[in-house]
Amino acid sequence: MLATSSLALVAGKITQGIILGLLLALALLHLFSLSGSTPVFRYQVF
Amino acid sequence: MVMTVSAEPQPDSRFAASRQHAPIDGASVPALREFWRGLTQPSGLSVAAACVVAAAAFGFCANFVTADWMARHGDLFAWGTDDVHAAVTQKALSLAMPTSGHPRILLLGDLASDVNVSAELASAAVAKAGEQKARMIDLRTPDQTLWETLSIVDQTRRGFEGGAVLVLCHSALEAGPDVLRELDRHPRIGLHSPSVFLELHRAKITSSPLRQNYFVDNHNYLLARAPAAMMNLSSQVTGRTRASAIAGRHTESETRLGGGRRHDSHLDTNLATLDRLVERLQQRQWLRSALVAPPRKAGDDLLRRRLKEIATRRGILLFEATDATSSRLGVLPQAIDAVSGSLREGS
Repeated sequence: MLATSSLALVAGKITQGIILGLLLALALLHLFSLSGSTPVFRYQVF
Repeated sequence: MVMTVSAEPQPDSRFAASRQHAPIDGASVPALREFWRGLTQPSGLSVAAACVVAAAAFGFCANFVTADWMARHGDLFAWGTDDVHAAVTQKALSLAMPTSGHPRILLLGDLASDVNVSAELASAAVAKAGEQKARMIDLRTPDQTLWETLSIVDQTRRGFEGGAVLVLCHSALEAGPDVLRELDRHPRIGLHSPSVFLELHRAKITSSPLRQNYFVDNHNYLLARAPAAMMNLSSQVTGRTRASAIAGRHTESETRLGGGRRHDSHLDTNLATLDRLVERLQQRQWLRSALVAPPRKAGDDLLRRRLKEIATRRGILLFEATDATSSRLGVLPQAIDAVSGSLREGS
């Protein structure tokens, strides 16, 4: 039972890591997207 | 009264017994509680896992989104079916792929309404290229700058067999370093190339060095179009038209460069870039290239003279409308004819 609890704890931490990792990747993507913007709109400044 | 007792337990009672004594009920609640604790409480392991997942996502993109992959699936990043820049990116990347050896005629430069190429004109030009089959590839975009043309030319392999017609426009010859800087930060086409990197260096614009990885070198282009890719992917799943919801906002007028910071003072620099572009075409051992001059406007005599100088020095053909009122529509077929004819002679 102790082993099961430990495994569950580790699984929870890894699941949290996966969720955070995906959110981090999405946040970076969003930041880059904002800085890159879409060429269509950025070119209005010329 | 005699009662018979069966030695075998009844199936139902056995199932009930096993249910009673299994450790599931006893262990699942603490296990779930532990899982929830691991899921909600901060820990070093989850931070490490987050870093690994983010790095893996990046590594996957860097290895998966290659130039070859983009040559096949580049339309995934298109805002809509009328997204010229995405189409040109995909077509240009496919130039580096092995072909059947048929000569190709590349149309480069400005995609202007006065020099549209009809399907009839394309097939006539291809027919002129002689017995062997030739392919005309239209790689023009609205107000294509010389730097963008350079990056397209860089995609061709050494020993590329074919010709090129470069349609020049005033905006390309008047664009200053601010436009080059803007194109580096917010590229319209996903073709970062060594020649453009050298041009950035010449213009003293700091840029990240080329990493020889398509995803890394073109991340600005790809990430700016990530929403389109997401939408196109979801539309593949749902079966809706690709990027139909946002296709309408990409129009030709929107993609044209505005009329702001352009000066004749950049003419010398841009003509030098044009000279290097033509040299690049010749380095690639192309059979014949032609230039189509921009439409005539008042006070551009110097430009015309300089274009003629470049054409004479480099041994390429120059086509221009004879007077200010005539359209360039008639000039482009002549240029294509000349290049097609030289393909026939060269074959």
